[in-house]
Amino acid sequence: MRLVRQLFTVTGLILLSAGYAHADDIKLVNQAFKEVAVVNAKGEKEFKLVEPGTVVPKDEILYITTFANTGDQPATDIVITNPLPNNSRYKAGSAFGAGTEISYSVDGGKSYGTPETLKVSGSAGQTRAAGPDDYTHIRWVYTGELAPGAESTVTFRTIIK
Amino acid sequence: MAGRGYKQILSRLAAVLLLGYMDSSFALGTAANTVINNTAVVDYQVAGVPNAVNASVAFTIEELLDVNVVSLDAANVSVVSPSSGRQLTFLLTNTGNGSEQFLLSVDTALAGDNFDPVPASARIWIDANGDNTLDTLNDILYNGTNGPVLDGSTPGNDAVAVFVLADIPAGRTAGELANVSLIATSVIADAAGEVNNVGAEITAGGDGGVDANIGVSGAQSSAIGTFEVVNSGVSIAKSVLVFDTQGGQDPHPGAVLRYTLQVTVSGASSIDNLVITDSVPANTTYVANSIVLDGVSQTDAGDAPGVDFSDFNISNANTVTVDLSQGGNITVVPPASFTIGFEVTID
Repeated sequence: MRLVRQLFTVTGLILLSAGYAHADDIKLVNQAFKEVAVVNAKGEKEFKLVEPGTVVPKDEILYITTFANTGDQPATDIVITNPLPNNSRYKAGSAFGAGTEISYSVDGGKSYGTPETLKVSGSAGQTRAAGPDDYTHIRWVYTGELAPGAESTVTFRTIIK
Repeated sequence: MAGRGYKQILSRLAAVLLLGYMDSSFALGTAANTVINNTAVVDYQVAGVPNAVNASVAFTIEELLDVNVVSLDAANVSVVSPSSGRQLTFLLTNTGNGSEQFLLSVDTALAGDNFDPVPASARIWIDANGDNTLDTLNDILYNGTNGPVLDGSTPGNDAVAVFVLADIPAGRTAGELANVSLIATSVIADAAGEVNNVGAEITAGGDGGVDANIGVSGAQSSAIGTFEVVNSGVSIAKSVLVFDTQGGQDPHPGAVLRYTLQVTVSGASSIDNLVITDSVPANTTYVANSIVLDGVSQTDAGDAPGVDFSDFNISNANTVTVDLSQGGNITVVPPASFTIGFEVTID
């Protein structure tokens, strides 16, 4: 990755002289939260996101990935890829991202598809429809341009095995 | 992060939560002290130039202190009064995600039953060889500090059978019940004074120095096993029907007496060498080949494998003998019953 980054940096420098982009225009922040129920002053139950200090099996984790354009040029062709964390199961239907098309991989990120198209090999050489437990990666394809100074988020949830 | 987008996310997430997602399908949870890593990658282009950056987040799974005890006895355990060393069987499972030792205790003074087994004699054995059968040579007698260490994240090492032995006092009558509970408590939770304090966190109390958290069980669980007093041993109910020569029921000379012996084996103990004998009454004569066992005609000849184990006037003089042990080969396990019939004529 470092080598690739350096190559891009060199490319960016060349392009910079022509008034184009430089490296790492996008700042990426990845956060994990646990949602806890708390009772507020009015005695109502509400949910609060906290840093995952205390996480035990069966807990639900919310991942928020924030991407911000810190450069001075619009960013295009933005694709966020997130492999499912170890010891975690994707929570069905939880992936979300405004202005994105979301697809999933069941083969370690080689190919992606929508939930209804994904298949995995089942018993006796048969294939079966893939379920959330089969997902290995989630991909968000941002359909628009991200203007300089703009930011957006994609999220998904997991359950700790 | 844009405040509005965040709020939107939260409201959607709350809606998902309200659907009441419950998942109890995990047999064994992720082990305590496991690091959960996640790295997101963003690929993008600026002015046609591709680039990629990534960002990671990680956290460590803490330990959950949870335990479950169930009775392994399929029904009330039949006992006779008095008797000693009667056994109840339980299964203790570490339903947490770490390696934990458990304290064991027995409570015989429970409400809702008829009597208490003798508490002083209640003994706890741990099924060290994993065969779910008490074997005092290979299993371990609990001494208050050598409770089982179970790993809730390792299949096969997360559960153990526990046997509780108790004495049944004298003077109890059939049908009376005695409840006994086995209680298992996490040593760590007990030491920290947090038993049954669900959600409490014990700093550095978990595997590898992570915090330990009291789970929904309160880090303590119990289950009840029940003894039921039954009448002991073998009982025989004998009845007779009279068939006179006139088609009536008058016991005059020449009338046939058909005797029926209803043999009932009850209680907690298996019975070896169960042989039923009934001497032919005075002034009557045995009707040849009239012995019937459970609807099957028996011969009067001596016992032999492949024939039958009933005879008349061979094992015992002028006596019907039915060997229910089939020559000592069959152990009768209660509850069991047998119906024996034979006939005599009045001289």
